[in-house]
Amino acid sequence: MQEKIRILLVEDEAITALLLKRSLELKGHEVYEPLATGRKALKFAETHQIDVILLDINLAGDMDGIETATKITATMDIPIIFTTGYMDDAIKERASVLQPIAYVVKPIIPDSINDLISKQFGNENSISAEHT
Amino acid sequence: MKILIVDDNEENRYFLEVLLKTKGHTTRQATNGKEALRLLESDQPDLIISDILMPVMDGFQLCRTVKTNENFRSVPFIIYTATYTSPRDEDLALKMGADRFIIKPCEPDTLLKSIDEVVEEYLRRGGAPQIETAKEEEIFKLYNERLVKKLEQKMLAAEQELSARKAAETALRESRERLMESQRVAKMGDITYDIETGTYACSDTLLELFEFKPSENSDFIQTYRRMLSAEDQQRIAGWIERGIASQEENLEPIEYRILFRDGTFKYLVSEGRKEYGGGRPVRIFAIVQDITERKKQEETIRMALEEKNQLIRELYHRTKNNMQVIISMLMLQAMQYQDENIRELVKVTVNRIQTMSLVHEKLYQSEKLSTIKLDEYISDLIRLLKHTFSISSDKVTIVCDLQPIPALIDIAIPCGLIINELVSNAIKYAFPDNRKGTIKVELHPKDDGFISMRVSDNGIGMPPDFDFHSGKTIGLQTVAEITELQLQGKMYIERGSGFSCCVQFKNSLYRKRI
Repeated sequence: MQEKIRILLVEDEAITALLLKRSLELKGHEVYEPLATGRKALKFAETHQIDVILLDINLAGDMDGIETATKITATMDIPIIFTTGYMDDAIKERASVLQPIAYVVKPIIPDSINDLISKQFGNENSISAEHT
Repeated sequence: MKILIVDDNEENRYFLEVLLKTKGHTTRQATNGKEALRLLESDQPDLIISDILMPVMDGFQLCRTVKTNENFRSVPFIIYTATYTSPRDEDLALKMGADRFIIKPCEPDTLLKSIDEVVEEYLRRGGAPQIETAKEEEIFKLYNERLVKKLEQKMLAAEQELSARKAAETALRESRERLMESQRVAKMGDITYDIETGTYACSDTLLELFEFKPSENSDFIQTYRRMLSAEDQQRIAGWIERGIASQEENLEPIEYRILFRDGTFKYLVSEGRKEYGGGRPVRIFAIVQDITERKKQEETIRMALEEKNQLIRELYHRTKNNMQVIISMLMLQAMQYQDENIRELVKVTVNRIQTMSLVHEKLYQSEKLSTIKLDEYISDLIRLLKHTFSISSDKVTIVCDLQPIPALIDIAIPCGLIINELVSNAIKYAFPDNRKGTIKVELHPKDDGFISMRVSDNGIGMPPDFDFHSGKTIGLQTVAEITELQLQGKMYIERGSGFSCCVQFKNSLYRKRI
């Protein structure tokens, strides 16, 4: 069995965060406790092994998702999936230098996130995970 | 006959000349008494027609001189007057020896008749009448009296003219004061720029607008420039330059700001018009108006509008967020069950919520905040459905033919739900057993103001005895109800190869909601 993919959820809407955590865990991934702010995510990333971050752009607190991602990727090579309520050119322009895996516009359907992760880390991973 | 015409008015002389020439007379002309006497000495006429009021020597004096001169007294003398017209004038003229006293204007025939009569009288008599020559003193007294009388009349006329002029001046001053007062009320001033000399003349009201005293007029332009930002200075200079060069008579309004020493400012607007001389613009007349109050009100309104827009956006955002929460709750709850029916129920419901959520997303991003582009919305919705049903394009293709149509939320949501039901149905039922095919989604405005929305496929179609009112097909029933109740439209099922459903409704963009 291959190693589980470790996912950090940064999402300030509790029910959605919980749904994502449960769903992705069911698919066999390891999902840390969701965090609600960029600052917490930054601190957490420094001390944990993370394979992919699912990062909401519109976050509570003084740092938005793009700022958070900029700071994290400055020192660490962690792929990002941005989630956002709205997608527009301004967001794309700001976030494109970070080369995220994808932008997912809410409402988020957990399966679509899982599909993205499967593609990023190879299908076998996801399939084997599904069987665990 | 040789006739001497004496009158200081050229038109009068011309009139008499033409009149007399037509009767075969020859005329000579003098413009006053002195000139007439000179002509008399060189060539004696057969008749004299003379005006009274003339410069140098008047008609009375001429008449008196002629009639007291032995050489000339046999020449008939007719007074033809417009100014001295009273019986006393006539009396004096006759006493001085005039043969007739005719008041201007008179019918040409009357004048000609008088001439003939006088000449005939002279012929019959063999010379001038032997009138009792009045005493010199009496004549002199009468003459003076006439002169004084005339002088009085002239003075009276002059006085009347003077008071009329005073009244006109008063009216003019009042009118000017009203104009200035009007400008003050309208917070306006005016300025005239002389294009050739580059000089300015401005009204007191303009100085007041800039809080200048009239005595500071000479420094005005310098100070005025200092009150402008560098940018506004350039804009105004360009405005004048363009205004002069332009073919247009008017200079379009220009708004700018002036800053006072105490840090306060005023918003002004200038509008100008060119004044022409010799076909070229020589001056620019401009009015300047203080629009600070209006600007402040505009700003207040703009802020209120901005706040309203923010609130509406916030509302759309919250609604969309809540829909995300509802979806998350449903899915979270459903995770506890393995039942396929429950999973399908959740999937369908989530789809419907997503359809509505997408409208709010579009509205949030829409410039107008009240309408969205129906075609873009449907296109996004189709993308979402493809994703949800994991359609592989080598099996089922969805083709969109969507014309741009703006729609309000209460049209967009029902439309979205209808498309969602029809396209989901087609995906689920039209192509069983790995059949290949195409689903077509169309949106067209019709000429009668209606919108036609159609979803069709080339799948297996419906059985001939299919009744969509039977209650077994919740999807189609939903479409029928939404069409009728929410869109006040009509639904048409078309059976041919495959299945086709068309919905037509009026795009009531600004329908009242209550």
